[in-house]
Amino acid sequence: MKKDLLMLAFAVLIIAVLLSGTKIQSVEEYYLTHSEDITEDSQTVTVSIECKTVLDNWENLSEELKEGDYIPEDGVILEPKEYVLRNGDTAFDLLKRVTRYERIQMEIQGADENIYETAYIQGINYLYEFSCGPLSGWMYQVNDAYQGVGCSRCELKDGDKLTFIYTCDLGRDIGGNYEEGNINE
Amino acid sequence: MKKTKMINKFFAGVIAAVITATTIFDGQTAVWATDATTETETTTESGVEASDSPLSQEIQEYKNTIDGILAWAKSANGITADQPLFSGSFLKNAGTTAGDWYAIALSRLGYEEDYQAYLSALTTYVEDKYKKEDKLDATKATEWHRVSLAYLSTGGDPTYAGTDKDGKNINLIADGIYDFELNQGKALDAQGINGLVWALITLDSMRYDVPMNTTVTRTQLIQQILDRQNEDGGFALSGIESDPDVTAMVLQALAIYTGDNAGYAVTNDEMVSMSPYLMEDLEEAIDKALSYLSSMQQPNGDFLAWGTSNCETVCQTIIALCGLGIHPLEDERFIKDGNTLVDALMAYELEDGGFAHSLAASTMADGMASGQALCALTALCRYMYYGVSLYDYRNWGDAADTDVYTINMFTSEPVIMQAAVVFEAADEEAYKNIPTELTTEYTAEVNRLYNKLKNAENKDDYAHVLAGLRQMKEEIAEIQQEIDDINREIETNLYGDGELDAKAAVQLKSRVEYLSEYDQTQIEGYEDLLIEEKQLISDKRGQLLSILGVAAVVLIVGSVFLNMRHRKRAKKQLEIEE
Repeated sequence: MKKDLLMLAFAVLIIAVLLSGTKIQSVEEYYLTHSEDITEDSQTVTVSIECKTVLDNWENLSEELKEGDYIPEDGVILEPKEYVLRNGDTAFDLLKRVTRYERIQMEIQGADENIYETAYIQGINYLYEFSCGPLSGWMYQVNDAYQGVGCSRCELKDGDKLTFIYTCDLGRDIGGNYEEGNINE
Repeated sequence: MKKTKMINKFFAGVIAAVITATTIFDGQTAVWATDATTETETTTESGVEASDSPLSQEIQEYKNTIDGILAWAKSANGITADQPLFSGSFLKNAGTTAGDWYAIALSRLGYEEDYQAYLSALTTYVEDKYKKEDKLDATKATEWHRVSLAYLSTGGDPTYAGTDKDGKNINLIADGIYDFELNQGKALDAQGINGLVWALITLDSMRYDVPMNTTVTRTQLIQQILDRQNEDGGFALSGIESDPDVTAMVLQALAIYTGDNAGYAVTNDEMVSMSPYLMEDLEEAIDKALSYLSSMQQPNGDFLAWGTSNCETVCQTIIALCGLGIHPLEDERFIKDGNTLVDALMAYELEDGGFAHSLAASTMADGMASGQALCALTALCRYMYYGVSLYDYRNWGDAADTDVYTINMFTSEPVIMQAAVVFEAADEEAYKNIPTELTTEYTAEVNRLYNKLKNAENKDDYAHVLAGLRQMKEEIAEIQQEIDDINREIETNLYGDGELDAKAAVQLKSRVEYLSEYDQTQIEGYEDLLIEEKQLISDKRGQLLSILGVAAVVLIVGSVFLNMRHRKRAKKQLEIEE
């Protein structure tokens, strides 16, 4: 009888452990909910979003954005973070996924993806074009170089570094002055 | 003898009088001619008759390039060559940079196109945008300006652009120019000098008047623009670093006050003479700007901006020179090493007929670059063939006064855009082809047919069709409303501050699944919703299983316990019996 009890206790223990730790999912569900997980063989891209130039141009910032926490104290909206790169992803695709995943507000113009026009980033985290003067808006770099094309035209590769940077001077304050040979030719 | 002398003197006097009179009258004729330009709107600006000769080789080449751009634009939007560009998915671009410049250019060229369809799509776009607080845009007045020009280009009237959500008339000229600051709470130049430049171009497109009490007058706009001229003669969007692109656009706005109309602002009601001091400053500013532009032109005929060349700068310069009455191919200031602006422009032309934005960064044709190239070629044709500027929308030519039309640059024939709308058999056919299972894919088509029939001469013959179309519009509006509601819920609960529980997720998912396949593609973040829903469900399932597991454990323990007790008792019983 003691043996019975022992075996019983053992069985109960195993069941409890299994049930508490297991998620019972179908195969389809598994892949769907783990598509963003980074494994050893997944391709990734590091993405960051910052608006440091606003801190130097605070006088030009629209009044509504001066209050609240729209502009982070260090100007970094998203610290560099790794994300899964899917086949054929453009800089725009990444931005869309990232802002959704991280719950960052974003507004775009021309989201219809075709070869006719490219998408235009109007605002991220409520910081819009012209929010900080007439020469302000969003630009992006891949591996620290401006691409000279709309972000929905720029395909990314495994290991790329993608940064979205806010300028208050038409790009001149963030190294977007092409005369310095910064443009990716 | 005395008599002869007297007669001679008399005749001399008569001759002198005649000569004097003729001179005076000639001067008078000049004034009359200018008056005539304002009173009737059917004489050409410079009185030049279109040539009867076959197209010169030059113009033919331009026409070929124009046709190339058109062909590219069609294929890039999945439209077959036999269909008008303003059809199908291209109409989604109505009201945006991607579409409007094509409407403007093709109309100014007088190409046969479905202007009706574009105007219909444009009206829908504006009315939808006006439902929101920002209307066309939070900061950019140029959105109103470009859209106004698009209305004029397709036979519409930007002062009667549609109705807002309160049923009031939308006047894009007022809202985009003299009422802009009042309505949007931002200055016209909040986006930079462009807001002022395009306000002036749009104001002068149909020689619109401004109301008596406004401060946004032509004088004020010109003064503000001139005040921003930099030391080097160029202009910038904002600040002191001049840009050839922006400078060219400023020249386009100022050009109207030179040449035939030097010193005058031409309005609908009268010719207003402008301050001579302002006009002097204006002429000087133009000269300095032209010097700046000329100095920025490179040996290959192109410009360098931000360390790289782009198609758009060349285009805007060509348009500016044409507007000023300066021949881009003949003026020495704009020929470098034998290379002209047009040579520079054609360097961006690609094999498929489209134009690239820049050669350095991309060899793929670009919608915006191609649209601007189209405008530049249009300006060239209009200037070289008729001496008319690109943005002059006043009627001239032989069509009746009541027709809204444009002139075909290559045949000199008027092309009627909005007169005498007739609903045709082909239209009824199109109506019958719309499936009973409606989706938002048919919004543009339904609107097009409805707007056409509503304004048609023969609309009484198709009363049942009109009723049917009205029904369709309502149904589609309901579907669109559902799509917008779902999108908003996903936006708030999935990406925003809201929360989504398993039940709500399942409900939302089933609402999406209820939509047609096409409408489902209009749901933003459907994939994420599915992921979230699966996540929530499996979480719930996990919870449920844990509860069941615990219950099972309790049952097993309980039954074993009972069993043990039962056996104990049975044993005891046996012992007692023994």
